[in-house]
Amino acid sequence: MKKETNKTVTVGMALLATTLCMGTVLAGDGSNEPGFVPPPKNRQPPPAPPRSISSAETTDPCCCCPVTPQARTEAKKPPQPPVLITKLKSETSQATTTEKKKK
Amino acid sequence: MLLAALPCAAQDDIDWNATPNDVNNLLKSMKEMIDVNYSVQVATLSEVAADPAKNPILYRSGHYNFSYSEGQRKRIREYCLAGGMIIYNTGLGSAPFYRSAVRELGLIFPEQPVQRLSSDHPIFHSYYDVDRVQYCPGVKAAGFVGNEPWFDAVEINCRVVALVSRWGMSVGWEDNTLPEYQAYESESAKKLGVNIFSYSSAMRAWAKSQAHAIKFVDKPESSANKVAMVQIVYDGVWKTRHAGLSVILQTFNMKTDVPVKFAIKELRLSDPEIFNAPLLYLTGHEHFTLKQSEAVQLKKYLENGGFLLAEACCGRKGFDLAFRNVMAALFPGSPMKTIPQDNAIFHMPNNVEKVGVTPVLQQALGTAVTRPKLEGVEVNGHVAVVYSPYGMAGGWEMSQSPYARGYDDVSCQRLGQNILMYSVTQ
Repeated sequence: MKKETNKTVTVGMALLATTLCMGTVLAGDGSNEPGFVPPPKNRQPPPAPPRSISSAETTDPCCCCPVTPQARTEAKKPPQPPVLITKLKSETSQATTTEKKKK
Repeated sequence: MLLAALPCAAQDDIDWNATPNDVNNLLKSMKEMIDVNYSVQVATLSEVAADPAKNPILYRSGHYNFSYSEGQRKRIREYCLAGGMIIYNTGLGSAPFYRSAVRELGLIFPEQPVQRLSSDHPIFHSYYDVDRVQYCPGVKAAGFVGNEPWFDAVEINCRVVALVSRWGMSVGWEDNTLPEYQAYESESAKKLGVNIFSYSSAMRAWAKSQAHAIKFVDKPESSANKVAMVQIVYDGVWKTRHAGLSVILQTFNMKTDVPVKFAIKELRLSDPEIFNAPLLYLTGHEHFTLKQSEAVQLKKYLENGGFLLAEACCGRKGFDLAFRNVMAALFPGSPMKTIPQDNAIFHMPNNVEKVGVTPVLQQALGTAVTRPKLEGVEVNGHVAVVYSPYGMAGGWEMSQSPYARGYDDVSCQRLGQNILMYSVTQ
């Protein structure tokens, strides 16, 4: 009996989730409107941020050599030109990210 | 309706960031093309500083429908009026996003309609001349035949504060175009990008120093026998400057002691109240037409002794051509003619034999000082229409736009006072 109830709840949840997703689409994201063009599929990831330390700086000194002070430099601060453009991201994706971080 | 507000995170990210390298690549290209070095930041609207100096240009791209809350609309409005600019890129020409952007701008700036920019707009000439572009074949397949760039914009005080690109620019900035895309080819997209950012930078610097709207209030006494002005309202952007008319009336009053009424009425030509106004003022940037009933009313007004002062604000050709068409249709037997230099309009109350011009007009004319050019239409033996093909209203506000084809501020004041004097002594 309990198993059946759980199954019903699971199916119900799945149906609700499907309805919500369908609702989002049907309620007006525009994907079913004339002239809609989906985003391109060949999305290129953004370039990796520039390295701020060189690979040599992370190398451990030779264990058999006499101890010598290791040459280290501060993390480089690349020149930061003034901001001209602010690319707007949606508020919801920030909320999603925050939730993920909390988890 | 509640469901519409529920975000689908995956779709959300793919929407605003469908082309993650667009602005990065454009900035790199700008460094190579014009040797300027800027960076981009990513932020939500609520994170954006209200001061445009900290984030001069906002850029939003997308494919799907969207809408703002009242608070967000207010925020964008304040940011734009303080000198900022917002750009909407219609991802691959996706119509729902485009329609949403136009609808939202209508709500954010209810006083100023969203209007397609004609090819002589400075944004198409601010760095490169890009009034003709290369499109991917997908644009033609979508039904647009032509090679002019398609930008819709809201302009306030002769400055584009918000811009919507009907076709995609971002894939071009990314060098990632395909034939089926409804987008600009890379070279055109990059040139348009450079122009937008050059324009925005120049206008922002100017907006900082621009005179704030000055409010002139009439003394609480009878306004009879005072020079009063009516600005004509028509379908399109009929108001380009908000303080210019009041300023010129005030300086005219100081110069001549002729009593003036500072309150400017804004009326459609179909309103019978125009017949109470001794002077009508018509201006704009872009092409416009009058309804048949409005044209008939204007003709009747002018034939009954009324006076029309018209001006192509910023010397824009779209308005110039449209105004000439309207006049030719109204008075086919009385073509618009250049007013000769010995006419009283150039000598009372100021002797205006020479005028200084703005840098852009100087480039076109090849001289910094020239004779003033006014044109007129004679109706029943008197000059009933005075038209300036070069911009003056910006000079009346003592802040001509950096891209204006017009007279310098002092010349605008002097010439404006003369036109007003001419209208009251006719």
